Amino acid sequence: MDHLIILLIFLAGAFMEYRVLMKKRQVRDIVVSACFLSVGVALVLLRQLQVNLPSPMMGINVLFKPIDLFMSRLLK
Amino acid sequence: MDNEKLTIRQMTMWFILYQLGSAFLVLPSNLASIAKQDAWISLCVVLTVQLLMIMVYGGIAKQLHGVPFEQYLQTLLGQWLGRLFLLLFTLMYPFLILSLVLRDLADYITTLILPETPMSAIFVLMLGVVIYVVYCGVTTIGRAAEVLFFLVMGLLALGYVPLIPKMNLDNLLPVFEFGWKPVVHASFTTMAFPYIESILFLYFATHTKKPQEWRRLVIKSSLFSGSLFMCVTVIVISVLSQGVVSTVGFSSYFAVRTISFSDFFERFEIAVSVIWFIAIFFRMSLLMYVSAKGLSTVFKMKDYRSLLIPIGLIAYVIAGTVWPNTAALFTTFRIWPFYAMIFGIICPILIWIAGQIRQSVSN
Repeated sequence: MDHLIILLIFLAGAFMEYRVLMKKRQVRDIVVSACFLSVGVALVLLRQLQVNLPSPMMGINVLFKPIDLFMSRLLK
Repeated sequence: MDNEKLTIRQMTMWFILYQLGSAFLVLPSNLASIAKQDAWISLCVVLTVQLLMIMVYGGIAKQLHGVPFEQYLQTLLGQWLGRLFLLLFTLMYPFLILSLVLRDLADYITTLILPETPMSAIFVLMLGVVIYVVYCGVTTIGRAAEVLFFLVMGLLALGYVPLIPKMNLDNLLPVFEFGWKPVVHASFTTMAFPYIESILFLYFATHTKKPQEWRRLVIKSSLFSGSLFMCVTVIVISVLSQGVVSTVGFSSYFAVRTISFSDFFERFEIAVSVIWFIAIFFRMSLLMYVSAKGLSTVFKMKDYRSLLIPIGLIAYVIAGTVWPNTAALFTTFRIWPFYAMIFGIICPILIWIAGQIRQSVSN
C-alpha cells in the first residue's frame, strides 16, 4: 500500500512535468522520459506485489569475489 | 531555465561536501577494521594515489578543449560507440551509487535515529528534495553549497573539538604494528569511496575558463577533505581505542556520543547527523545531475530535467533491494572497491590514452 502512495506522488510530479513538455512540444523528451517512467512504474508495482527483485550488488559480488580473495591473500 | 554556471568557489565547496558525504561516518570503522591503529596512514596512501589520478583527470580535461565531457566521448569513440559507452557508464556507475547512497542514509536513520520509520518514507523525502534542487539547476546547488559549507564546518568543529582534550595518543601506538600490507589493503575502500568518484567531476570541467583551474580546484578539494578525514580519524581512534573503532558500526557518531560536559552539555551527536544529511544531500544531487546529464546526452534530449522523476523512481526501487541486511552490506563493501576501480581508474586511463592517440593522429 505504501509503495502505491509513493507511486502516486511521483506520477503527480511526472504529470505536471508532461504538461509543461507538451506545451513546448518536445516530443523526444516526452518519449524517452515516458520509457524510463514506465520502467520505474513497473518496478514499483513488482515491489508492491512482493516479487523478489534481483539486486545488482549480488551480481557484482559474484563477479568480483575472486579478485577480492586474491587481493586479501596478497595483502595478508 | 538555463542556470548552468558555477563559480570556482562553489565548485570547490560542492566537491568538498561531496567527498565528505558517505565516507565520513563509516570511514574510521572501515579503515580501522583492517589497518587497526594505522588507519590515518592509509589516508596518506589514499591521498597520494588520488593526486596521481588527478593528473590523469587533468590530462583529460586539457584534451576536452571546452567540449562537455559527454559529447567529447562521442567525438572520441564515434557516435554509436560513444553513446553506448556513456549509457553503460552512467547506468552502472553514478546511477548505482545514487541508490547505494540513498540506502546507506536510510539504514543509518532507521538504525540510530528513527527506528520505527519505514525506509520508503526516508527514500521519498530525500529523493523529493534532491529532484527539486537538480530541477532548479546547477547554479542553485552551487549557491546552496556555498551557504551550507560553513554550517557543516561549524558543526564539525562543534562535534570534534570537544573530543580533543580526551585524546589519548597512546591508542595510536604501536605504529606499523602489522607492517605495511594492512595499510595498503585498508586504503582500497577509501579510494573507492569517495575518491575514485572524482571522475564524475569531469562533467563540470567546462564550467571553468581553463582546465588548469579545474585541476587546481579538484586538488584543493581532495586535500581539504583528506585532511578533514585524517583529523577525524586520528581523533576518533585516539579517543576510543582501535578495538572499539574497528567493531562499532558508525564510529564517528559513537565517538561524539561520548561528549558530556558536567552531565549537562550532551547529545552532540545530532551535529554529526546534520553534517551527514547535508553532505549526503550534495552527494545525491551531484550523482543525480550526472546521471540525468549523461542519459539525456545518450538519447539526444534537449533538456535533462524531464528524466529526473523517472530516475528518482527507479533509484527508489533499487535502493530498496540493494542489500537485504547488514551482513550482505559488509560483503558488498569489501568487493565494491574493485568494481569502482574499473570506472574510476581504468576508464579514465583508457579515455586519456585514446585522446592522446587521437591528438597525435590529427597532428
